[in-house]
Amino acid sequence: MSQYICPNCEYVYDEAVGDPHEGWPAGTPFVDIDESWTCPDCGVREQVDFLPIEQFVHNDQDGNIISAETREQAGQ
Amino acid sequence: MYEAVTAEGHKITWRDPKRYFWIGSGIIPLLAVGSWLLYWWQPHDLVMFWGPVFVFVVIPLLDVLMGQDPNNPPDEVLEMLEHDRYYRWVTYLFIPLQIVTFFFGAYMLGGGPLPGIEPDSLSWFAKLGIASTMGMTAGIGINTAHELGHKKEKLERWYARVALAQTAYGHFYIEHNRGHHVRVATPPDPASSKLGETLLEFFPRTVIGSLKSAWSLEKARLARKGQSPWSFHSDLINAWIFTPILWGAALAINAAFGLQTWQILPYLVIQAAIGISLLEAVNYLEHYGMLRKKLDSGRYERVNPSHSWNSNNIGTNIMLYHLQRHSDHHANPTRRYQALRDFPQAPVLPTGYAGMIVLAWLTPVWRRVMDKKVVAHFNGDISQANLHPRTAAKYLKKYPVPAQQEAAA
Repeated sequence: MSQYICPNCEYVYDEAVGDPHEGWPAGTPFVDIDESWTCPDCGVREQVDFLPIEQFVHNDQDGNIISAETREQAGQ
Repeated sequence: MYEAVTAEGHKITWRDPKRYFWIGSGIIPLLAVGSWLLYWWQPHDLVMFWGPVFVFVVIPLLDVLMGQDPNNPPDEVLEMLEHDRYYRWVTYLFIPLQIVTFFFGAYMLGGGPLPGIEPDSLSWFAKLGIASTMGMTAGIGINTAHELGHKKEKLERWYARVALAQTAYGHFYIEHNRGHHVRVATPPDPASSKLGETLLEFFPRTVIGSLKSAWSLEKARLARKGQSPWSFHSDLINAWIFTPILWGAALAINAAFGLQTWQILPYLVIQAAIGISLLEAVNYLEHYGMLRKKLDSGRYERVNPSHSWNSNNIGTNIMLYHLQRHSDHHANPTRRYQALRDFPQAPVLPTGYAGMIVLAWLTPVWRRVMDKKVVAHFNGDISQANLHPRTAAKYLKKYPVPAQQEAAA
């Protein structure tokens, strides 16, 4: 069971706990969550923007946006 | 006073210049009391309209007189500033005041006697004035709910629902966070105004569109849980429910004093409508003409500071908990008001939101002032703006896309 974090507000999705309020029961794998599901706390990052918690260094509130697209660009 | 050590090892201290000014926002829920005191002093129906006068004349004047505060807290103290509980109590204070003065307003509307007011002596016009004053509190109450509804703490999200009860705008807390913030500065967002869209055109689009969007967002969430949208599990219904509770309590208090009860309902509806129109006028000016780019991935770019209109005017900022530092708010929605920063590169309004609302009502003046600013923001290329379909052709003719950029494209 892994944890995934919102790179903006640091909300953590823990697969073991899920997020029942959002409709993801405990044990829901992160990959099964809709790509367009928005972070329930900040609303400005979506499932595809979340990071595995091991890869998280700091949030992007300094203005250097971390998203699916910026990661892809950095990887190229 | 906050002390911190920078990455280079320098010790820094920082004092929040607005720290004690924030309490000033508590004057907003007291506006109805102000109406009564003014009437006691000068028994004229017009003084009951003190609320709109305060919001549309006094606050804009304060903005002009007090000027700007571009002061940003240093990055090193942001964490401490966010966790300073004093700032939370300032927002919590608003809500009990809002509830008590709502009852106070309902008492006056019901013909209740006060020093300077005989029983059942107020005309319908004076009562309209009271309703307009209550509407200012109600509308700015939505802003207080806004600050609280963005927070991660459950309790603060419940406070947000309470603050929305006066306007029956409980769905705002869902739609704003999960709808508006997701789609801000894109054509599908009902709460982002388009270049060339008038305020009156914007009202029905945002009020109806936001309600529909809130319902479908909540319906989709509940469907995943196998629950009906028509239940108390719905965060819409458990927010809306506060309105009959609050309004019902006001009528019950009036009944206990032997005053008018159901007869004041039209005035309660009017104050709610005025409050909503105040909030939606602010929505109108926050993102006028702004547009996020569509990326190759098919998504819109993540919202950044260039997508919101800002102001550093102190008067409005105090009354609206730094709402005018809107770029930072949209980039980082969970950040607390006291820690919001000004971005020098973000688009700036000519004056505070309060004064800009007045302009928004005067369409030709608004266009004269704001259209140029939008054009300048996009370096003359308004094809990059959020154009309104009705006026797009006219605008593109008036502000042709610069030839150079056209050739490059």
